[in-house]
Amino acid sequence: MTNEMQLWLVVLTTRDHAGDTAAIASVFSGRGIQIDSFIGFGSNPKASGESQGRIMITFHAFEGRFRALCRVLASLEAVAVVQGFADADIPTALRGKALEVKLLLAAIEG
Amino acid sequence: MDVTIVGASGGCGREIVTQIVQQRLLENREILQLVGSNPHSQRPHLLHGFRADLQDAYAEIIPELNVTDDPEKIIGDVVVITGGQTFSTAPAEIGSASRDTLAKANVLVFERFARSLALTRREYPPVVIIVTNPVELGVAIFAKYLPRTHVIGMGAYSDSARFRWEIASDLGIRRQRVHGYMLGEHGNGMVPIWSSVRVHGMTEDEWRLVELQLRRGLRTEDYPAALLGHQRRLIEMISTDPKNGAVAALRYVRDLPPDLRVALKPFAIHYTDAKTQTATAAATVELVKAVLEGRRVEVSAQYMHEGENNLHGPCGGRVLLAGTVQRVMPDRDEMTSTERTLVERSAWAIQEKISQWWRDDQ
Repeated sequence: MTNEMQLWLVVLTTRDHAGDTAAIASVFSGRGIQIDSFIGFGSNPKASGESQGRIMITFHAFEGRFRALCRVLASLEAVAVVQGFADADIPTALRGKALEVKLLLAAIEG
Repeated sequence: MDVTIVGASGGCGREIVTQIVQQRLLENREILQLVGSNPHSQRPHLLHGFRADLQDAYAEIIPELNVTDDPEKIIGDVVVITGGQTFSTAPAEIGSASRDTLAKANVLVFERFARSLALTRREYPPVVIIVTNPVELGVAIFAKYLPRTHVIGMGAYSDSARFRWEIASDLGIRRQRVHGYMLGEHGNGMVPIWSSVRVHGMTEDEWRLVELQLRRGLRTEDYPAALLGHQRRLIEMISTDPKNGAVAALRYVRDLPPDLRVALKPFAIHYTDAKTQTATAAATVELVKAVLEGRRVEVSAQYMHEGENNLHGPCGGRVLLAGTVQRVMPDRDEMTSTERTLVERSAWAIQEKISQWWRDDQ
């Protein structure tokens, strides 16, 4: 287990209800952890016909804290599945697309 | 901060959960986790129903509620252990009620959850508050697997609250005006620390006079024998009259000095079938609140002593809390030599019992 602060990614499958993102964000804010990026989409159809949400969050933390956060996220009624990735294990395509979204957002005037 | 109640489906556990919600200890995005402690429960879905009922009742103030029976999924920053067995309230069984039986049953509960927390929460250990009896056994087991500064037992805390109330009721004042401690064992080895009693609004001279009246001649050195003697009398009353014995016992206790009432009133209440879960839950929630707020507060609690005040093992002592235990408070100068001796004797007796109940190397 590393004892250095590093970047982590969590990908959450949610039930796609109002208030889900507030519950998830509170897990971080309640522990004084700043979210680095937060991208989410609702209305993803499941095989059963219902919809589900997908949220990806990146943040910096020690590994122990990352694991504790995953456990807390998994306990939320809003969250069905939690997948966590260390910086080195983040899928390249996802990292690239997230960067694209970041640049696109930065380019929006305002 | 999140709170986990292990044994949330039991009488005391449910009362603790309800009081936490009613007192709004947690904000609506904080998590109150309800954990079943018995993997072979005949009512495995009770906690799901309890959660839905709580949401119906307290929709305006309810925190996030999570239900699990998997110890590895415990997420609380504070974990209250209230699962396991308790004494039967049947008067017919009063003769066979023993802490040995409780210990034998509950050592498994303590071990299961302590091992799991050690495995999953090593880096960020929660503060564990033991309510389940024998509370000293729980403290010993959890303090083996977690830092001892993160493990406290409710016994001395609730005994002290009762001690303050019994004094206050004799004086006709509210409990918050009385300070004082019961230390030692949460059981027959408890020790009233009369030297610690202060009554707000009374001078020391006034208190000394009043103290003599309240104690009705019972000296501290005679307390252990008096407690056993009166307890035998209560057992006789309850076992010989299963219908009205417990009420008669409550009346009998009413006329005893405050320090004896601390130990014996809960005993009589238990056999009325009311148990003592409201008072225990109230004291537990008060302690949970203090831990969550992280404020510096001196409390009496069962704590794993390592030689402080010449005490060893999980004995009721005074500790300084600020989220976790910061230190054991040194004995005050005014604590009498008899009080010190009795607390030390109690600590030794506790260790002796624990060595019979639980092998530290298992």
